[in-house]
Amino acid sequence: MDVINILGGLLSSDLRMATPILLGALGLLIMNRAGLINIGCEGIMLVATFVAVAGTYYTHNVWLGMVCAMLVGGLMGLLFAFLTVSLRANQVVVGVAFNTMGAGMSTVLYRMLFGMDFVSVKDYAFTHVSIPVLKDIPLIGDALFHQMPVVYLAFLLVPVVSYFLFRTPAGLNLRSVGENPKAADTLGIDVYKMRYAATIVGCMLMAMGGAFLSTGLLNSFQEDMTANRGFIALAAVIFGRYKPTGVMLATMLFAFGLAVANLLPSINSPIPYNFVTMIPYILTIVVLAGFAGKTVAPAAAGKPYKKG
Amino acid sequence: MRKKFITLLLALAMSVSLFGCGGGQGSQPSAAPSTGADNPSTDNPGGGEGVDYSGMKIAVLLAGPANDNGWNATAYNALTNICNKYGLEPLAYSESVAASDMEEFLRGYAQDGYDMIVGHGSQFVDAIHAVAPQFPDSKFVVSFAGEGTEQSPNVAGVGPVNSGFLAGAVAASASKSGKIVMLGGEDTPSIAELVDMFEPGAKYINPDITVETAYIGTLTDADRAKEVALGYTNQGFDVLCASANNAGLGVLQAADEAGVYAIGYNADQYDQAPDAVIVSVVRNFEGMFDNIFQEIAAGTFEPKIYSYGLKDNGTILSDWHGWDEKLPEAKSAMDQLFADLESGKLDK
Repeated sequence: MDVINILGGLLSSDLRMATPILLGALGLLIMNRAGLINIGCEGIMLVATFVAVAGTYYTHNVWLGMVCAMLVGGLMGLLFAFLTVSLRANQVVVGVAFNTMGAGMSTVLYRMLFGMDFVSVKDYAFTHVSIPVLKDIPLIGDALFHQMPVVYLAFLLVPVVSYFLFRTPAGLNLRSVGENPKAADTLGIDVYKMRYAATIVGCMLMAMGGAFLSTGLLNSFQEDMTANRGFIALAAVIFGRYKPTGVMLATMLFAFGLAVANLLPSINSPIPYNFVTMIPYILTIVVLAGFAGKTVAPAAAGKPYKKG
Repeated sequence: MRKKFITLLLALAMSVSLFGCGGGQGSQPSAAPSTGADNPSTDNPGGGEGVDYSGMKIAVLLAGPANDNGWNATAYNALTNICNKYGLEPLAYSESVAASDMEEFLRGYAQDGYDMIVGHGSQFVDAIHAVAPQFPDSKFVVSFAGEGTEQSPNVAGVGPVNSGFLAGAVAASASKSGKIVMLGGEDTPSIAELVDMFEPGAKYINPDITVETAYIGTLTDADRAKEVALGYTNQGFDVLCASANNAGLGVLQAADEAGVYAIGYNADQYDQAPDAVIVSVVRNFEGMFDNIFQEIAAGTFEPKIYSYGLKDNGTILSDWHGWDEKLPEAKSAMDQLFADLESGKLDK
């Protein structure tokens, strides 16, 4: 196999694997910018992997399955917002509870619906969509323009979120709520409403990431299948310096490390697999320690706000 | 008021999730979310051969979820069937048991008077030896036929050996490109045993075949396993085989996507990728556990390693689901192999 093919394969694998993490990270970013830290991303993604499979199984339509997952994600967001915004509970504690709850809920509900059986939604799963002409560019064509629709969608969301956060009045309001809620409140911005909205939208994006993992990449639900992608998304937001493009680069870098680690066994590398498994993490740490500058988190992140 | 409400809500959330994680735990096996579809029939408590099985109880500790369609599912299904067969109370099981919790679970089951307590996998060896001496009335079984499982008088090891040989043989007989690969999840003794036997099996069928074996480094991340497997199919490997609990699914899907063959492992995995899985190599734990259970019931249990080779039916092939007609040469190669085992020409 020639080098061009290997590089193209790596890039293609990179984008595929980055997509669920990127969607989760964008959701977390929106919440973070509104002053909310959600450690429960992993749990929300996990519930979404299950709901997407169940939804697809019953409706026979993978998009409807994803919508179901996003609706459930939105509901979980509503609960998160109710606990942390209205009741001012500690966000970290609620996040941890969400993770435990996500692992338990997805398992119990799956077994209630399907028992111990294996359920595949392969017949309705996402298929690759090629973009004509662009697809024929050497090296990158096949990797960038022959992917599943959700991959395009995830990467298109990056400029959209960026535009929303930094170019629209609503985005400015959202960021001000995350920086200084008191000042925002005195200027007539409804802090609670803003945080509720950010949480619901953010959790819907995380759910979308989870749904893609189960219905896009694996066509089925497996217990604990998110395998810590939610936590990686959490790290990607910080590594990406709270900016959509930065977040995108951070997830792509991590996924590139994963892609390299996954390729190594098949090209007869002499490196023991224990070290190969570390590659994505080490790569991310090295690059960020070397190149990333100072990171400034939204000033009010994690702090509950009391009106009046 | 509000704080109380939060506490309540969180407590509720925690208990819901604990319920999910724990599965059916020692003291309340009946509280398990699903203990198999059928309840054991109570009209035949005797079982057979004059031995009284009533009042006997079986428990199993699994390192992963009971529905992983592979290693853990095999034990769960095998023991559930045994409980039903002898009219015992439903199987008590604990899933995804972490290393730090093993002893506690074992002690719990032993205190509740379980007669046969199975630790399904080599990772349970140390915990079982730590707990077993305190509970001489219970018999402990480790699903691992390796060394170091016979120090205590109430501990036995049980397991198939050479199952990797059969997997290698069937993979080699189905390959057209002459390149096959075996992927293990982690380098644990039980997985390493079969990964190491894969190449001899393949060479037995075709001495010139190219055989690769590698470890993925995960037992849960099916997406990663899939990507690793795709790396091999891109290079012309046309039969994939994996033993990696949940993650093994990713390898089957990679074979499906790349249009090559896969060999299922542990359980009949045909359903997971009908267009790729030609046959599954099944470790016959039901037969092995059944033997041990009967020995425990009859009082002939010995603290030894019960090891079952290919010739003892420790490992069998699943149904071919029609693939034997599409791949007649693979089927006949396997028939020949079993004939060699029968005649003693092959000693595995």
